[in-house]
Amino acid sequence: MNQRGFTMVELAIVVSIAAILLPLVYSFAWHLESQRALVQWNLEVADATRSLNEELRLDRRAGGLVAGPALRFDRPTCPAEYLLVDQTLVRRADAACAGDRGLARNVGSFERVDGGVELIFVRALRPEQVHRTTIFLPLEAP
Amino acid sequence: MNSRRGYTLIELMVFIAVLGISAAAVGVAGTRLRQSSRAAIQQEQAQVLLDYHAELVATGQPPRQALVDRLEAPLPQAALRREDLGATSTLTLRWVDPMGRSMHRALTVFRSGGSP
Repeated sequence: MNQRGFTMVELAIVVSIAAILLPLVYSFAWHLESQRALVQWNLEVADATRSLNEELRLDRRAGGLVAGPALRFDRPTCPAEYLLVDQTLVRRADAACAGDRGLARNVGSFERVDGGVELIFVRALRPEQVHRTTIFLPLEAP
Repeated sequence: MNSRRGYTLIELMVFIAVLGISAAAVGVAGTRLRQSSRAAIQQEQAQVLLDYHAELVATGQPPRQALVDRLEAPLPQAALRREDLGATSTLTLRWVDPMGRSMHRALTVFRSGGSP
């Protein structure tokens, strides 16, 4: 019978290699997970931008945009207002006019600026990794 | 007779090289995926810009440069071309995406005063 165990040196080498490789594998996996979260975040922002652009275009065409800091469409039928509630952009309207609807999540700020409206999407993928994406949508009704 | 032997240095190096190449390939794929997701946001921003121009063309009004600049800001090398044909105008917007690819989007609208 020629089987034998591992020598101390062999074990030490295996443990050393594992000690070098494990942090590398861990940091690689962490990096991949960050990338995945960022990709998902970008796609969510793209989706929200599309929804908001469509919704605002319809409201602009219907008319009644009120001047001032609030984004409100004051008209005889189906007045609407856009509000930020707990980081969710909500379009508030009567029940007969589609009712209240959440249009975008993770909206850090939402304000009217010259000629349009500026949204800043904010999301902390990790405590030390906060992503901000600014989107500008025109409001000028031709 | 003991016929077992350990791995040679070459074998170990080949194994580590294959591992490294695989990890690099996965890393590059992840980066490209992230860039393409940023490109998705750009495409929506391009659509916003096209919609803005389309409404102006449809109503016969000139664009406001400050607004156009703001809308074009996230689109590197943005260039808008307008082609009029009969009662319609085709707006083609070109820009460069985060991966360096030339992108374009087009929209055809009825012009102000044109008959559908």
